[in-house]
Amino acid sequence: MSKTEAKDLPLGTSAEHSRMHTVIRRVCWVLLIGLVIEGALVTPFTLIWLGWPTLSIQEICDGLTKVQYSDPEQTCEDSYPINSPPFGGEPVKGNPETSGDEWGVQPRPGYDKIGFRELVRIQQELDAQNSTAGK
Amino acid sequence: MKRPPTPALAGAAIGAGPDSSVSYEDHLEESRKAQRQADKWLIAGTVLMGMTLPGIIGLPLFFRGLALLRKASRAGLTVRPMIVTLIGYMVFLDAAINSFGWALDLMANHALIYRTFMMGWGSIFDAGYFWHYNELGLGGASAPGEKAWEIACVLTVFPMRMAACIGLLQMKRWGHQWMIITCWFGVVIWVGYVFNMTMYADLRFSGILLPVIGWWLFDIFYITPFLAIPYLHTVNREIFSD
Repeated sequence: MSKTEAKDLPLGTSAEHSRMHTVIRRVCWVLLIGLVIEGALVTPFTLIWLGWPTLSIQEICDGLTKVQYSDPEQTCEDSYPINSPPFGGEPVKGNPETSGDEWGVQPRPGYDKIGFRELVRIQQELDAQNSTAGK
Repeated sequence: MKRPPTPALAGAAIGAGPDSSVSYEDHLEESRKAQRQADKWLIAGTVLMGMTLPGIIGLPLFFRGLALLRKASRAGLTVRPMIVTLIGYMVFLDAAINSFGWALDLMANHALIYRTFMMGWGSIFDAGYFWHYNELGLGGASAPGEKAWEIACVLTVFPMRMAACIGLLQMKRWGHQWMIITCWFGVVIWVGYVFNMTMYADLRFSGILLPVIGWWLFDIFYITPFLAIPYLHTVNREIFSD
């Protein structure tokens, strides 16, 4: 390595490690920008995938709970007092009867994956059933 | 940086500067000002980026800080090397975002907006955050072992690592040493977490949208300790002053 090249090295970087430090610096850029973009987009992506803004946050929570327990009767509580877990109170009970889990040392859930805006369809079907039953 | 760099390093930088007639004290003062100015932008950007959603606003602020740092460096001022800046802020961001998510899962798991988002995220990437969510006595993720990792990391390793990042960014010797320690902790966390998750893979990856590969694509950006460790062990530690 020439004197000029050695002089151009960043502080603390020796000639023998300069290539590795360059690679590390470049990967740092990728990870840092990736962390930021992922962090900023994951919430909107998740909510839009699940059905927002057609469904409200409360309705998405309801839909997720119905899928969790394979039970259309399940609903999601809209609010809890401040002394709920971990600060006290009773945890969520759910419905182990309908969840369809295979229980054992390594349990396996019984629900199916949720497709793009599938909760909207589930909600609409339930609304249609309810209105028919109401008639 | 609160403390001036070592005379040897500062002297080298003065020689490299465009105007070698400035006094050593003037050079140090100018360097400190430039570093402080850049750090204001970098910190403001990182605070926003660490809160996830406003990260898109924080990123340009962060870039502005990097540009100021680069400009100062090219002007011959003695400022922190770019790679130290990137590693320090990146590892800080990793710990901050992790703490943000896991602290909420520990403390705010019954808040409607949080449990809806978390169960939704779990139904896509990791059912540890969907399967019987909030049924534990403490609430939050019900996957076996998950709560223990949350408590261990949020209460010990992540705050230690964030403190270490601040020390590293101030070019302190203790910052360099504690970055090494907490990044090796990070290796332990990665190995332990991945194997715990693998033991309960049926539970965590059945019935979700993007199992395993989706999880890795999402979480690969948190491998920062593996990137920092080779640098920390090969950098000339004399640039970090006592």
